[in-house]
Amino acid sequence: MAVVIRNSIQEITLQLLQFIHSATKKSASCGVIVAPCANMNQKTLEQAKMLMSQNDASHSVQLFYDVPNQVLCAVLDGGTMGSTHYASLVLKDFLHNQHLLQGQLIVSSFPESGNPTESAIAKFIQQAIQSKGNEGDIHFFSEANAATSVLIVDTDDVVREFIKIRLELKGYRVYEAKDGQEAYNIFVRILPDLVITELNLPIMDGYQLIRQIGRNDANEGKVIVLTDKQLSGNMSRAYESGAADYVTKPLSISELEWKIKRLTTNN
Amino acid sequence: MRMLDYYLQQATDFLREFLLGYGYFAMYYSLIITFIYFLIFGLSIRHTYPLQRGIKYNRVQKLSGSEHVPPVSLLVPAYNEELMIKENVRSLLALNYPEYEVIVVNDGSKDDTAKIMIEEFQLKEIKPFVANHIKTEKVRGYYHNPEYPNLYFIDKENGGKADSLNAGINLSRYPLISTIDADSLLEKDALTRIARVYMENPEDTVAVGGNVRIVNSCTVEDGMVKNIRFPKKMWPALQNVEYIKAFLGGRIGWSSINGLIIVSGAFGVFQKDKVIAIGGYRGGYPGEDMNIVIKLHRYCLENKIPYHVAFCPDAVCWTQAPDTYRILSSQRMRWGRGNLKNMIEEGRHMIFRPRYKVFGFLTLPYNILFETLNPYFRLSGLIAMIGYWLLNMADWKTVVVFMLVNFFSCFILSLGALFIEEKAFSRYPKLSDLHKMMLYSFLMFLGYRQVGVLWRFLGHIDFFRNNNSWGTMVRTNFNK
Repeated sequence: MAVVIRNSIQEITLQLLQFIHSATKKSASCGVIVAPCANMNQKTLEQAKMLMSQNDASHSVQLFYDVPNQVLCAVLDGGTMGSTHYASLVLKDFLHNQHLLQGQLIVSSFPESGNPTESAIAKFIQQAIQSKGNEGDIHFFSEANAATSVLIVDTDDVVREFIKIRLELKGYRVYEAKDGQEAYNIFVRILPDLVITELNLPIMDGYQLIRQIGRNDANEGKVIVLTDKQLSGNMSRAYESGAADYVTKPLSISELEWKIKRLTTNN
Repeated sequence: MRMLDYYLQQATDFLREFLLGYGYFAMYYSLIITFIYFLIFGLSIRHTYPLQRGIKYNRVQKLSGSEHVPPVSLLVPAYNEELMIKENVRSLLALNYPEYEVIVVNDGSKDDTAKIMIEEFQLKEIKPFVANHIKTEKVRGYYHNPEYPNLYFIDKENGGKADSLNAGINLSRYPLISTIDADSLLEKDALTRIARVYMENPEDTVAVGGNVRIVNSCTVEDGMVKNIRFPKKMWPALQNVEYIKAFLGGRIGWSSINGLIIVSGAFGVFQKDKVIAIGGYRGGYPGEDMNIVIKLHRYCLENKIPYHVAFCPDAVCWTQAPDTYRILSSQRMRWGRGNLKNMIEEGRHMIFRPRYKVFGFLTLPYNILFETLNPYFRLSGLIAMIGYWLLNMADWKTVVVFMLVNFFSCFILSLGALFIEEKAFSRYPKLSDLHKMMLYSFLMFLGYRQVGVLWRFLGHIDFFRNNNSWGTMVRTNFNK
């Protein structure tokens, strides 16, 4: 079940990213509004678009509705935080009157509130979906107050699932990978704040993964090694490759959580 | 005329006498073999419980990163393995084991095995210090890449599997060596489990054999066997039942009295200095895996070294079984040849000699009388049967009863092996697989075993005609 949700979020994230990229190409900035809505159809979409264009003729508006997640996305070319906020007021009224709104409207503007990376957009949409059932007010999204994203790399399903559940309860966004290659592909796409990896991985082993991540971006992607290997040689090699920390299994989850916290809060 | 009648009478009387004698002999032969079967099986059952406890309470996870586990050199001989070599080496590099090296030996392949290895792992030629414990064919080069610190690649002239293993031994740095077929898949913790058996008695354990299972019809992902299924095709299914019977019903028992005669070439661990002491692997003939174990027994017994050849049923190596008649028959003929060669070369000198203890008094007689010479007794039995029928000597009821007793005793053993499998290891999650295993245990007796005897006989014929080819094994990719 969880897998299905994640994949559908990935799809909408990529879709929204495309819109944002094409908008930022045209003008320097773009505003984005995401709102969880029930059963929008073509007609109501058109109506909303009309209304927003009438209110603010200076920005062209694009709207699309994602059925699996029941989320409405609006992208304003050249929208700043201010103008997007104004547009969201109009949209909120409309959705209220039509009894479509199911949660909070999340408003953001790029690059004002951060870089439109895939992980940022995913967090953005996640925030909107999680607001379902709340009071219909407007919230601002910026990358700084978004949930930290963590990528867990391990061949063992149980380990991955266990850490994932724990971290998600603590409010982290968690991605998973089964082998080094998959992990690296996900890393490049999502640029998570933190990677927790086993050293024993098929296709590309942990050391190589850490080195690749280090080459990719010196500022992004801190790596915690979580492994069975207790030899000092392994530890030296992991640190040499660029790991930030080394935790051995059997793990104390609270120890791991504190280490994650320490690494991610001084961002 | 009378005279002729008289002689004919004499001849038939003699023949009757002879056939009767043979009948008694055959009866005792079957009785003894059944007795040994049950004895070994009983030992297997008895040792299943301690094994099970060991498996249950060992801390494989903990061990797999521990500094107390002895380092191992994995020797992987590869001949024309271009299809599989990349994935296999990758999965071998990702084993859960603290300290080990993987030495891939290219045995002068005719395909691109060497090229693929060098490109895939960006290997550079190195000039390491190589010991010359054992003479081997000319080595063309040693390769290594610091990115993969525990992978070495040896490129050498063709000299056979044994020769490749010897070349690997010369390069290896660690006191234990493990031989692994390039076409098999090791489970991630197999090496740790074998090491555990070794660590329980590191002085005496000269060799530990792993358990071989059949990967056909299972799904393999990233070099790991994901969901385990009983083979769908007939030949692999029959072999699967046969393997379970031989490994669980046989080898556990044999190893408990230290009479194990074979450590599978697909996966086993040896003390390197002992292997070097007996001159390494014998080349030029199949059956080198059995040969090395016989020589280890011989060396240790002759030099009064306390030793043990252990078997570790929870360390699993998955191998592809031949799935056509042609490939399977060539494999079995090869085994038959290797077996005969070993018995003539080594067994002859050791059988029924007190200094060789259990090995000389039980293992070798069993192997020579009931394994190697089995086809001849079977054939003569068949001819005798025809003789009884022609001379109206046979009482069909007796014959049928005897056959049924024989069949059921063997069938019970097969079921017993399945019982051990289910009780201690239970690798097949689906109930339908268990039912299939029972069915195939029964079907084994309707043709498969007889054909097996025939293959062994053909192998012997090959041996005497000096046909020394390895035969073919066509590989397919593991079903992705």
